[in-house]
Amino acid sequence: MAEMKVLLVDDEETFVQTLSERLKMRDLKSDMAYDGNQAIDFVDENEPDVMVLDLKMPGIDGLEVLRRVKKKYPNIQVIILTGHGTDKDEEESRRLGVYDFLKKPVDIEELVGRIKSAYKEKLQNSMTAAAFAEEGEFETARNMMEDKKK
Amino acid sequence: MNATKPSLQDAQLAFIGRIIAGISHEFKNHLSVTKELTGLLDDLLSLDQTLPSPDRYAKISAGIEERVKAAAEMASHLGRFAHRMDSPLSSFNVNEVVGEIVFLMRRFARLKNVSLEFEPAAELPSLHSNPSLLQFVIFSVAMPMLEHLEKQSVIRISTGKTGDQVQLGLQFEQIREEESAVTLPDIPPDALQKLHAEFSFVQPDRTSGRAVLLLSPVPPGPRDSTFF
Repeated sequence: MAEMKVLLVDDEETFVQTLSERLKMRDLKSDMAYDGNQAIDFVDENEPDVMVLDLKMPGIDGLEVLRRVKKKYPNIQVIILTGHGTDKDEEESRRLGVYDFLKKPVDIEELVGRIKSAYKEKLQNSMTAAAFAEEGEFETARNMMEDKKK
Repeated sequence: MNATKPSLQDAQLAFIGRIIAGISHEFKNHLSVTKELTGLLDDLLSLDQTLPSPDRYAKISAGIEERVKAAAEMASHLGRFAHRMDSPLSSFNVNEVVGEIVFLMRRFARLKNVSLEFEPAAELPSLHSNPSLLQFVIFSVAMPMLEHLEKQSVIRISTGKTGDQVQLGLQFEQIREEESAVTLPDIPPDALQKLHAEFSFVQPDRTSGRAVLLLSPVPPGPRDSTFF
């Protein structure tokens, strides 16, 4: 099975680097982006499986990154990890199709668990759609992928 | 008066709220970094089999984590409290609003050796009003009473439902005997006026150490922003 690609996005560099190192110690390799622009560029070039995304960042904020990513790559699973999320932010994130909404500071084992289940769900979605496509039911497969955009 | 233009006082509250919310966000960022750095230290120490007294390090690290957790919870409450002032009117859950101010007042109660308890009722209707003012009213009634209560006594704040109204009760247990004539503090006149403008309001019962507010759900819509 291909290795899971995780992208961590947060403008707090020490936080992202430390988190990345701790994930690595738990056999999860991750890349890092320090603002919304970097995140979007990275996604265009590397299409990660799971993104862990902060909301409040200079420039393009997390909600806008989420909006753009989900529009272009609906299969990428996004986990919001924020210290500042309001109920309204959570509501909007869920409307945009976020996988999970976590508040900082988060327990590392909980985060690892959420990343793994997000990846698992992504694989299942792809496999189910692929199975329909294999059976010639392309419209169902396409609808399944389109549904992820909503 | 322009119904959509906030008063100067509302604008000032929103300004204070934004500053506090921003700082509480920064606190949480620093706490998150502290937590991750401590966690990394933990991870590294756990890999080092030659370390003398590993339990000692584990205990220190657990102590830091416990404090980070408590501080992060405080910052979260402070942030939500500050956001209540974003706009004078909003739809809110009474239990969340009351729970928030109870949490923030606990420190003051603890310093007086008084316990502050909150008993939320289930399935209350949402209110569309001024949550910040409601918190201010609770604070204005409960805080002065801390001076008149015996040590180990209790302030019990509860919510309930009466018909389509939300009931908010403040019960003060064990007022000092020598101060039995003490009356419940007055709600500031401006706040009282605003309460009367929107809610059916029951004056505090001054003999039993109990204050009750009855709050009616009000549908969202354009209203004069100077009132509740």
